[in-house]
Formats: sequence, structure tokens, C-alpha cells
Amino acid sequence: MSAGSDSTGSERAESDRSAGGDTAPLVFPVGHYMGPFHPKVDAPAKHYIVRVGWDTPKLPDEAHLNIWALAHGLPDRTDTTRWTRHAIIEAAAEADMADAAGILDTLVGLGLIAEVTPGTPQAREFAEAYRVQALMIGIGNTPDDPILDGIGFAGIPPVVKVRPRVFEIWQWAHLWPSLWAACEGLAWVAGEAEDVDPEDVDPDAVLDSVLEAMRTLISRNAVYLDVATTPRSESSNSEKPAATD
Amino acid sequence: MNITRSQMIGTSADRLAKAGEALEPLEVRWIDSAAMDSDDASLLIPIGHCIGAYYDLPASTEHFIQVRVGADVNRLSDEQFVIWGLAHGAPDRDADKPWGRQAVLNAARRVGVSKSEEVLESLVADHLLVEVTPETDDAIDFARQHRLVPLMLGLGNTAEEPWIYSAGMIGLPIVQMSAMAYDLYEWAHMDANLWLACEGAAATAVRVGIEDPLAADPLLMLNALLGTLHFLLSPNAVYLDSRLVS
Repeated sequence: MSAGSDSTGSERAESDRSAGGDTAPLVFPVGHYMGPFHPKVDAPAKHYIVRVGWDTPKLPDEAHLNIWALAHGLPDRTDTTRWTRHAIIEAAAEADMADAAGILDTLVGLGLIAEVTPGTPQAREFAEAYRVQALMIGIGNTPDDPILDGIGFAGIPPVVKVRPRVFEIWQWAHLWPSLWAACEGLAWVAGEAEDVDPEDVDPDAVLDSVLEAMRTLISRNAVYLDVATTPRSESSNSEKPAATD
Repeated sequence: MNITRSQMIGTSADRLAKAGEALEPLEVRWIDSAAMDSDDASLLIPIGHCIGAYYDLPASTEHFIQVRVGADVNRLSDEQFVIWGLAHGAPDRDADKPWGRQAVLNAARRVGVSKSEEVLESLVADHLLVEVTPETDDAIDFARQHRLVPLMLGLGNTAEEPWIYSAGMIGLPIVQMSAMAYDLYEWAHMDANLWLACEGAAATAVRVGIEDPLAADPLLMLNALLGTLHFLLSPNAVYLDSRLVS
């Protein structure tokens, strides 16, 4: 599912370390978590289900679930750490999770991890291959803090408070069928305004903002990444797996 | 009128407010909609994704609340937002009584909304509230015009009760549902509208040999979903958007 990579993940993680990690691909989890499946009473979880497009790849055990969860990012590190393979492997080691590099390779093979290098042609391929889906509701801003908008659920403090640009991405980007279409759309909308910042009307620059916002939002489960798909039409006979497989 | 945000989105907010405590999951049951009193069977269903309050200036009380439907953002007054929020239902209500216009007006009266009927009508006119009666042709029309979208993570089932599935946040199940409801929770938003989703889910049930007649018939499935929909709407586990148009 990850576009444009020839070396294995483990090799790239080693490369990240030697290069300082500034240009290493960012790692994102793919899919809407659907939880464990226990086939009968008292049975252990057979696997953990993630919906990705019209498919449901399975995380085979807790070790894979933990690394996939870690790929979302740690909220207290989203502003300070580029969330690369190297960062994930280091965080996994801190938590005594074994074989993070090997599991990341497996997750890439399952289509549950995607990697993207901002500012490169591969970023465009990534943006055309994936989309975001929004979770939670908007809480909005307050007179005391009109700059930041809350996202979360009613009746509890916001799960996350974000700048207007990030809130805009949470609110609107899921309406387009791909991240790239969202970037083009957001750039077009920005161009309709009176005082236009040149970066706001350039889809490639918008993509950089979207990728940055995605880490903030994905690490709190306020959005998830999905593959770019089209809905089934009236005449389509596409099949999906049963929910409880 | 002194209304808290939790009242605006229904009483489920009170349960969410206890998130730090051991939260007992809410139970979603399929209701036999045929058993409803036909005179009172009409449901009032809120449409749209809550985007939240918008205050333009620091320290100003001037504000509105935004609800997105498709590509349109509606600006609601406090009174409209209370009625729209109450239309999501209350999880501790009597499960055998449909959450319709009168139930919402009664609840609005209790929290002190003035001219609630007028406000409710304004929301119906703006298509932010829709009335639909299960087991009628209107139900299929409603399903063709709208899309069911999940807002929480799926939390799967448990070894203790593998027939029950839940949704919520990690470590915090908020709402429980049957396997059939969970199937729609997982997949319905992938289709352009809810009726297509029910047809697709029924076709899948037949293909994999699920014997439950409710799961193999899209109309029965839709009516069952409508009968229990407010239990999913009230904690914001799902919202209804306008259908996708290709």
C-alpha cells in the first residue's frame, strides 16, 4: 500500500538513524479500527479487525495491534518528533514491545501502514491513493479562546483543541474521495477569499499542511486514513466481507 | 434560558461526562417496530454533523452553532441547536416509545425552550430534522436520501458476550449493538445512501449463510435500524448526512 519504496522497512529504519531522520518517510496507520473478534464464549480474540476500503485486514495478535496503534503517534510527541519508522521503533523499545521493525514490515504488507515523504513526488502518489475520514463531533471555540476549536464528544472536555487550519481539514477533507482531491478543493476554496496567501492556493503546499494536521488528528483518533475508494453504485455487485469474519 | 452544552446534545453527554468513572455501556436493542402504536410511530431524526460553536471575537457572546450537511454549513441559534440536540434522543428513555416530535417538544419544554414548536418547524424546513415512519414507503425514501456515518471506533465483541458488539473510544465502550447493527456501523457509510447499504448488508448475509431473516432482508433491516437509531444518535456514535451524489 505504501507507494514508491524499494528497500525493506527495517533497512530504511537503519538508514533513518544514520541520516538523522529528517527526510525519512512519515508513517501513518491505515483503516478504521473495528476491534477484537471472539468467535465464541470464552474464546480468546481470533484477531483484531480494521476496515480499509471494502476490505478488512486482520491484525493477528496484540503485538501487531500495539505497533499499529503506536503508528498513530503519541499525542505528547506530535509537535516535537517526526513519526518515522525510527521514532516508532524507539517508542516501541521504551514500552518493551518486541520486533517493532519486523511487525511494521508485516503491517505494510497488510496495507495497514502507509509511508509518505512530504515535498516529494511520492507525496502526490500517497495523496491520490488515500483519503481521510472524520470521527467525533466539533465542539467549536469559546469566547475565552476563540482561536482554538475543540473536537471530541459532547459533555466532556475536547479530546483535542486545534488551530483553524487543522479544524478546517478535520471538517472538510473527508468530503473528497482522496487526499489530493481534498488539497485541490481546499486550495480552490482559499483562492475565492480576498486576501490570499499564495501557499493556501497551491495544492502541493496544502498537502504539506494536511500531512502535518493528520498527525495531530490521527494520534487522537479524530480522523483515520482510508484508501481512496468509490462508493458502490446501484448496479454494482462488489462484495464485502461479513462484519464478524 | 440557561442551557449547558450537555443538554444540547442529549443526555448521553451526562454519561460521557462520567468518562473517568466506570461507564456502563449503553445497550442497543432491536425494537419490534411493528409493535409500535401506529399513531405514534413517526420518528424525528436529526440530520448533519455537529461542527460546534463559532465565536468570532474574543470575550464576545455573539455566536452561532454550525451543523454541516453535505457541503453546506447551517448556522443554528441556541434554541435551534437545543431542539436539534434533543432530536438525537435520550439513551435512558423508554426503549419501546419512538422518539418523535412530541417527545422532543416535551423535552424542550422541560429545559425551557420558548416557541419550541416554531423552532422545530424551522429545522424541518431546513431539512435538519426529518420525520419518518418505519414500515412505510417513507422509510425507504428516507434511506435513499441519507447516509449513516460512524463517529467512533469499533471495539468489537468480548469473550464473555461474543454476540454483543460495542463502539466508543479506546478503553471506553459507549454503545452496544447486535452483530447486524455492527455490520451497518462498520460498512453503511461506504455506500452512497443507507438503502444501498441495507441491500448490500442483506446480500452479504445471504452470501455467507447467516440464517437470521432480519439480516437477509434489507427492508426488515432498515426498519430494525430505524427503531433503534436514536440509541446510536444520542451518544453521537453516528450521524446522518445527505446521500452521496456521483
